[in-house]
Amino acid sequence: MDELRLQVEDLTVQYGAYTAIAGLNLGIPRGQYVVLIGENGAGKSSLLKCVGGWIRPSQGSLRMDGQLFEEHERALRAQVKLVPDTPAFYPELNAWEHVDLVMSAHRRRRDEDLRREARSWFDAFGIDRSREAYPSSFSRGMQYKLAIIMSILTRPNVLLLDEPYGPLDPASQSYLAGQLTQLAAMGVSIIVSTHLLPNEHPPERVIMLDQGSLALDIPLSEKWNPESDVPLALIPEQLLRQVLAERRGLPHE
Amino acid sequence: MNELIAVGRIRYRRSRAQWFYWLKVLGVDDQKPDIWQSLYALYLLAIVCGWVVLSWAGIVSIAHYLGGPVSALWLHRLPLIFTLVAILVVTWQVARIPLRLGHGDLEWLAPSPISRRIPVLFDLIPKQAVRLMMITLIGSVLASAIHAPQYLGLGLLVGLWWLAMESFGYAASLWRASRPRGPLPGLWIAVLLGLVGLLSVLRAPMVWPSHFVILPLTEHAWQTAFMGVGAWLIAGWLAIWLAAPSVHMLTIQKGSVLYADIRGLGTRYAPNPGLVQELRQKAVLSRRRPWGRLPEGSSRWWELGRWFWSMVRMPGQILRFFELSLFLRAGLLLASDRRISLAWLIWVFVAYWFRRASLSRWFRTDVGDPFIRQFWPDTLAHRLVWSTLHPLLWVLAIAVAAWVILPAGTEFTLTHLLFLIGLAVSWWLGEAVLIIRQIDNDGRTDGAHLGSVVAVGAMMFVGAQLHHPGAALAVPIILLLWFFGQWQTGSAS
Repeated sequence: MDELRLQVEDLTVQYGAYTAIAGLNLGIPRGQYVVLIGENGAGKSSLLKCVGGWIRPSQGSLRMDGQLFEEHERALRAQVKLVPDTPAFYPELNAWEHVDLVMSAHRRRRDEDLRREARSWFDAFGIDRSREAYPSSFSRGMQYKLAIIMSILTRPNVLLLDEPYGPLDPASQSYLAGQLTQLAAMGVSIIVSTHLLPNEHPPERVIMLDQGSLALDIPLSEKWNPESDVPLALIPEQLLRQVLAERRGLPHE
Repeated sequence: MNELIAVGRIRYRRSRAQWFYWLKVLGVDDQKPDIWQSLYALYLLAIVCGWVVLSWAGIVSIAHYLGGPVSALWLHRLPLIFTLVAILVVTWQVARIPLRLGHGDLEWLAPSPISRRIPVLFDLIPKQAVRLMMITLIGSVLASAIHAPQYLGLGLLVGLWWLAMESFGYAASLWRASRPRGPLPGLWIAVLLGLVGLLSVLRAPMVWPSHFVILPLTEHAWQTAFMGVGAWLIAGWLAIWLAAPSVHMLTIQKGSVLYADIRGLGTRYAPNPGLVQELRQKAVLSRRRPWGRLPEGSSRWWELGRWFWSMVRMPGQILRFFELSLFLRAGLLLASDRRISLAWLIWVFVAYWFRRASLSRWFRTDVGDPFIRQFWPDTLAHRLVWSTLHPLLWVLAIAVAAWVILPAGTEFTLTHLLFLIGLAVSWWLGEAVLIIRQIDNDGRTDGAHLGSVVAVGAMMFVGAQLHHPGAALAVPIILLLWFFGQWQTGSAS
């Protein structure tokens, strides 16, 4: 568990004059389920995009399993999957064909277990009847579910989800949280950027960003336990208020 | 009245914002409105108006010079021609959704209890004003070509006549959109057949509005002509006024979504027609059931199947590749004919506007969005080959077939064959070079069509300057060498 899967060293991301992330240092062990919180513009999405290899850092470096990302970009990128808040799809392929595409591109088209697993995901997410429909006719939540299924089927070592719970219905939120916990147990490192948490299946660690810097990095157990009266769903909001108040010298209840 | 003012104010602000964008592009500073900025805006307006008037006057003169008086036989045929055009205008209008709303109007105006006549009014007035101006200009050019007296007056008469016909079609379209269960499908066919049937029964010219357009040419009866067309126009507007309250806004909302999305692109619409094409394609696809199934088997079979079913599901692509094949063949003909040394420049100009025939469409979809791209473990160079090989071969096959089958051709030599292949490869790789470079830099894939134009333009230029198509092969060879380097190093990941 302590073996570091992902190391973020002195990471800076700039868009012109705007600094989204400023000198961030982080280590994510193998098989850890981490929740990333922060205000709008705190740098959460930029961090995920950087780790996913979608944007290049302005400064600093990223290591996966000890290997520098910039030196082994292609090989390492294949092990990371990021689901953005609005994923794109092929206009001319139906939902199931997207799953086919993923399996085909990863040379696993004949893997019946994977196919069965895909079916069970469709079923659990309640989109089984829409398998033959174009994703462009889906609602945002359905599109997000499809994107999650596609990403998980590639068996990534690092899974990054940007605001996954927002578009999902409560039943799907709980199902996803449960599956993420299981994936973490299988060794997948998971970073979820969110303001929402389902009440079951808590993450192990909470990281908070504030204006591109690390504001908080603690095990969730420090702030919450299953016997607590406070529902898990309220923890991100509470932490956000508390830490921001401390950092900005504001009164906090 | 309050509703009218409120909607009018919104429309005014929207138009103003659009005008301000273009004025800003031309250097007017809308942040500091002062007298000098206003004068500069007026100065620009005067230049544009002057340019339009001078261009129009030039075209009118050319049309007069090239044309001649209309013969008695054609004068006799004109009413029928105008009537047939009128039938087409009415049918075209009936087949369309009458009122198209943008975002904002769709969400707030359409569900409100506001009188339906108000959005109809604000849709109709600018549309008809623009149409009147366009048809008047075109009509006056045609009138000048047939040496008609007072060609501008005749142009205006044609413009008003067009508006009258369009108004009747618009009214019918409003009526069509009044059904709670959605617009009556196929009504336009009934209208077309009905009007053609009516034309075959009622041949008397006085019955049809087109009669009035011809009156100045046959009897110099200008006043009667304008009064007659005016009466038809007022009748058309009256029909709209009566039909407007019954229009079903749910139908309008459903039919306006695509239009609203395109409008939502705002000022990006003008420089990026690819985005509009993409939106139209998505809208068409989401209304259809997916045909066929991707094949079982190896990844390469899957690739072929994906391409095949994409073509079946979006048949417009087949037409585009066919067009591209013929276009490449035209390039070959121009390069082979030494008598027309500068014609290739026109060919390159056409190539610039021929952006929809992109061979890299599948490649762009595979790698253009980072979410989709992360599912392809190949390098960019590998992905380019696998996603564009089939369309490239398809285009080449049609181009060669057209070369053999079509009568006007050039001799079938190895040099010419290589030139044709070189053109296709340049079209393909010219765009691919830019896409790969853009993805490596900032991830964008728009505007890459220019790469195709530059590559094929360079080929045509070298071929024309050295008077031999074979010499032009240097361009695709350089592109292939560059691509081979990418393939070898795998640097473009």
